[in-house]
Amino acid sequence: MSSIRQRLPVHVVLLLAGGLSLFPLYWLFLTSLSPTQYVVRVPPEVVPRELTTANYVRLFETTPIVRWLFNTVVIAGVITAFHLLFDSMAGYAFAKRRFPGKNVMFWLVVSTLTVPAQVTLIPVFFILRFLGLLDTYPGVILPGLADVFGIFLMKQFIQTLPTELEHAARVDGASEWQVYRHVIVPLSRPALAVLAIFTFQRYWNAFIFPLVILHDPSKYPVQVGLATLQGEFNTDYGMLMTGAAVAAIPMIAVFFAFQRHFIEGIRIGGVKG
Amino acid sequence: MTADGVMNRRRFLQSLAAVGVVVACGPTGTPSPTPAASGSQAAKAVSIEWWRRNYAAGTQSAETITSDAAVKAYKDRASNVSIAIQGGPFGAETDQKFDIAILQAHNGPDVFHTTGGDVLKYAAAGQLSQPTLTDAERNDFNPSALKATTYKGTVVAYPLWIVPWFEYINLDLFKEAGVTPPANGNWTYDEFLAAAKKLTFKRADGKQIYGFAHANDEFAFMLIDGGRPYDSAIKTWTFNSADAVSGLEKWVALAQQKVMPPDFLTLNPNDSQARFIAGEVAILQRPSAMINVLNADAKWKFGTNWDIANFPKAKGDQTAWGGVGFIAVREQSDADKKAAAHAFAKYLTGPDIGPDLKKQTPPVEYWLAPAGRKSAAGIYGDYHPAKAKVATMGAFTYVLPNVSTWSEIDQKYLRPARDAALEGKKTPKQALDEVAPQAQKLLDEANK
Amino acid sequence: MIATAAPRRRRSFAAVLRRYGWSYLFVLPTFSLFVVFTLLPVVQGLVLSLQNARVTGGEFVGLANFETLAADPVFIQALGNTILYATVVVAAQITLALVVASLIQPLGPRAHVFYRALFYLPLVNSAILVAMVWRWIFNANPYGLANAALSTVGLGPYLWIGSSDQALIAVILSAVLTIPGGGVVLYSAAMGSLPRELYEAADLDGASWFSKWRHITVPLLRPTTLYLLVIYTILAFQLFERVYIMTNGGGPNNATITIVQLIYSTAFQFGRYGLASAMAVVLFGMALVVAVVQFRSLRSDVEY
Repeated sequence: MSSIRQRLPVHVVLLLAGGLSLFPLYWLFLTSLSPTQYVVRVPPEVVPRELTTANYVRLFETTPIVRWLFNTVVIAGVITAFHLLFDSMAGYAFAKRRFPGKNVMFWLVVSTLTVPAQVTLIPVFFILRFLGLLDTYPGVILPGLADVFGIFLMKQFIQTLPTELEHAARVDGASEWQVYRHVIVPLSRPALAVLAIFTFQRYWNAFIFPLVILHDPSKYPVQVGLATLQGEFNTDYGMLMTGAAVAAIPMIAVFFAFQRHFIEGIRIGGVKG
Repeated sequence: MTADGVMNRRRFLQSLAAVGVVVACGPTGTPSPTPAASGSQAAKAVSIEWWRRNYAAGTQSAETITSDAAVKAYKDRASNVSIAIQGGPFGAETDQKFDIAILQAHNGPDVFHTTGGDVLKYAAAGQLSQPTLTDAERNDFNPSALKATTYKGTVVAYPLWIVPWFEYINLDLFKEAGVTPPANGNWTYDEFLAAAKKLTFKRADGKQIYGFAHANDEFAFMLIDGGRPYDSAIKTWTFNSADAVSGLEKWVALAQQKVMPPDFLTLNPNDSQARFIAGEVAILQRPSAMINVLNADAKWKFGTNWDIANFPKAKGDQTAWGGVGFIAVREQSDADKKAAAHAFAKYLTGPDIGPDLKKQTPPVEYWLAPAGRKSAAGIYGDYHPAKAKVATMGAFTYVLPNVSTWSEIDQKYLRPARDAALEGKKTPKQALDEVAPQAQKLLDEANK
Repeated sequence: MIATAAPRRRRSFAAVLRRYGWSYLFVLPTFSLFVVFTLLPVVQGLVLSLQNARVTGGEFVGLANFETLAADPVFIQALGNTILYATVVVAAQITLALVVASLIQPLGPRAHVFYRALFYLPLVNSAILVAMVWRWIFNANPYGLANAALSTVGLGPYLWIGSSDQALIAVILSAVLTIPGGGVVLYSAAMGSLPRELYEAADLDGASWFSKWRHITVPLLRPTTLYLLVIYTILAFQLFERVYIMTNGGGPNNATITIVQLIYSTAFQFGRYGLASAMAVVLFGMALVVAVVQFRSLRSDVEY
C-alpha cells in the first residue's frame, strides 16, 4: 500500500473537483437556511451571514410537501423495484442468450432512447385515457416501467460475466430460472445497485408526465408540487429552494442505502467448474 | 327526459342568469343582494370545474387565495352550484394539459382562465361557448379588451383584467442622483433618457447603479412613436414601419448609453424584480404584480421610497404595453353546466366579486390587475394608492390584439431581431425588415 | 441442486420452445410495456412527422415538414449548437468520469465510499435548480460568481450568458465543470468487478501503473464506456432544461437554442405537432447514426 504522502495529491485533486461539482448543492442548502430576503440578494452571498430554519417551518406549514414526498416515494419506489427485477432479466437475455429477433429488439430499444419525452407525451396520454388510467397512480407508473435505459445498462454489465459460471450451473442441473436467480443476480449486485440509484433518481425528478397525467393535486409528486410554488409574477425562492432541499434528502438516503452493494474487488475469475 | 323538458329547463336557467346579471349591473354599478336567490330554490344542483393556472391547494399563492375566496363568495349567491378548482404551475406544460383536455379530449374544465392566443386557438376549434352579453354589459367592457377576445366577429370569452406595463421608480436613488421624479408620472422619452443617464452611477463603495431595466417579455419601446405590430384590420404586419423602427432605435439608444445592466438581454421578470428590490436599478418597467411585493416589505413605502410613473411619451400618443386575461366557458352538451359556468364567469369578471371578497374575514383582494369592466375597474384602485394610479392606465394601454400565431412570431423572429439590434449586431431597420416577411406569413396563417 | 437430466432430443416445436422460451419470458415484461408505451408512441410520432398536424389533427403532407426544417435558419442554428455541445461535452464527461474513477480505485474502502458519495451527490439536486445556480455563476455583472473569481487573477469581466457570442460557451462550461457523478459511480462499480489476476500478472512483469491502466483497465471497461458514450451522447442531444433556465429560452438572438427546445416550443407553444415530430425524427436519426458508429468502434466481447 502506498503511503499517505504519495496519495495526498490525489486526495487534493479529488476534493477540489468534488467540491466544485458540489457547489450548486451547497448553494441550495445554504439558500434554504437563509432568511428569504437574502435569497434574492444581489450580489449573491456565498458565505452565510445568517442561518434560520424559518423557510422549513413555512414549507411544512403552508404546503402539502409531506403528501408530495409520499406520492413520489410510492411512484419512484414501485418503478425502481420493477426495473430491478425485470431489467436484469431482460439484460441477461440480451447479454447471454441467443434467440430469434434479439438484435432487432435490442436496437429498437436503444434507438428509442433518443426520442425526447415531449414527443411521446401526447400519444401516451391517449393510451392511458383509453385504458382509463388518467389521474391514477398506475397511470403515472406504467410509462415509467417502459423506460429502457435500464435494460441497456444491465446488458452491458451482464455481458462481462464469464459464461463458464452459467454452464457450470446448468451442468449441475439448475433450471433456467435458477441460473438467473442464483448465478446472474448475485454477480450483478453492483450493476443492480447502480440501476436502483439511477432509476430512483430519474423518477424522483419526474415532472412533465405526472403534470399532464394527474389532475388531482393530492397525487402530485414533489417536483410538480414544487413547480406550483413558482408564480407568474412572483416566485418564492426561499420556499422553492427549501422544497428542493427537502426533496433531495430521500435521494441521498437511497444512494447510501444502495451504494454499499458496490463490492470491492469481487473475485469472479476464481470460480471454476 | 323529452327534448322539450330539456329545452324548458335550459331557458329557465338562462333567464335566471340574465335576471341576476341585470340586477347586478344596476345604473350605479353598485352591487345589491341578488333576488335571484329566490329563484334558485327551483334551480337544481350543478357542479362545475374551474381550471386556474397557479392554483395549488394548500399553498399561499395569490391565485390560490383569491380562487378559494371566490368560490366561497359565490356559494352565498348560488348555493346550488358547487365548484371544484383545478390548478397547475405556470408554464407550457400546464398549457399543454389545458390543450389536451380542451382540444383533444373534449372534456375538461367548464370554466377556465386563459390568455392571449389561447382564446383564439380554442375558438377556432369551436370549443368556446359564446357569452351572451347585453348592450349595457358590452359597453361596460374596455373596448380593446373586448376586441382582443373577438373571433370572426363574435366575442368568445369574458375579459377579466388588463395588465399595463409601467415604470416603478426608486425615489431614494432619484434623490441620491439629484433627479426630479416626473410630475404626475408623465415624462417624455428625452426626459426619461436624461434621467436614466444621471441615475447610472457608481457609488464610492464600488456598487454600480443602473438607471433602467426591463424584462425580456415585452416590446413597449417599439410602440413609443406610434408603431404597432398590426394594422387596424390585423391583416398586415406593421412592426417594421418607420415608427416602429424609430421606437426600436430609441430602445437601442438605452443600450448604447449603457443605462441598463450588462445582462439586460437575459433578464426574466423575476430577475428584473430582484434587481429593483436590491436597489440596483432606479427605474424598472414591469406590470402591477410587483406592487404587492413592495407593499409587503416594510422597507418600501409608497410615496417615500418608491413611486409609479407612466411609460414615457415620444412621437405617439401616451401609451403602455399591455396584456389581457380572460375567463372562458367551454362549449359542451351539458346545458346546465354550461349555463352555470357562464353565470360564474360573469361573476368572476363582474363588479360584485371585489366587494364580496372585501367583506370576507380576512378580507381578500380579488383583483390582481385593473378589471376589464369599467364598473369593476375602480375596485382595484381602492386597494392601494399605487393601484389607483395603475387603474387610470387602462384607458391608454395598448392591448396586443390576439393573433393565434403571435407566440411563434414573438419567440422565433421578433425577439432575436430585437436582441440583434440591442446588441448592436444589426441596425434596427435591418433587424426588423429581415423578420417582417416571416411575421407576415405567420399572420396570414392566423387569419386563414 | 436438483439433479434432473434434461432429454436432449425432442420434437422440434417443443425443442424450440425449450430452447428459446425462457429467453422470451425473460424479455417479455419489459419489452411488452416498451412496445405499448414507447414504441407505439414513437411510431405515432413518426407518422405525425409526415403530417401538418396541429392539436386538432392534420393531413398527410409527405416530406414537406422536412423541407421546411432544411430551410429554417433557426433549426439549423439549433442543430449546430446541439452538435457542438455534444461533441465537446461528451468527450469531457467520459474522460473526467474515467479519470476520477481511476483515481479513486486504488484508495481504501472508506475513501471509496466517501468519494463516490461526493461525486454522486450533486446529481440528487433537481436539474432545474442546478441550472439556476449556473445562471448565477455565469451572470454578466462583475459580481457574477465566475467574473468575481476571474477578477482575482485579473481577468474579465465577461458577458457570459448576457452576450450572444459567449452564451453557448457558458453553457458548455457549466457541463464540463461538473464531474459526471453517474459515470464515476458506474465506472467505479465496474472497476470493482475487474479480476485481480490480470493485474497481479502485470505486476510480476513489472508494469507501471500507467501501463496497467492503459492496457488492462481501459480495455476491460469497454462495455461500460460504450454504455456511457451512448447515454451521454443521447443526453447531450436532448439538451434543454439547462439552457432554458440559464439563458431564458434560446438565449440572446437564439444563440443557445437547441433541438429539443425547438421541439418543445414548436409543439407546446406554437401547436405544430407535425413539424415538432419531424424535428424529433431528425434528432432520432442523428443519434442512431452516432450510436451505430459508437457500437462498432467499441464492440467487444469482454468477459471478466
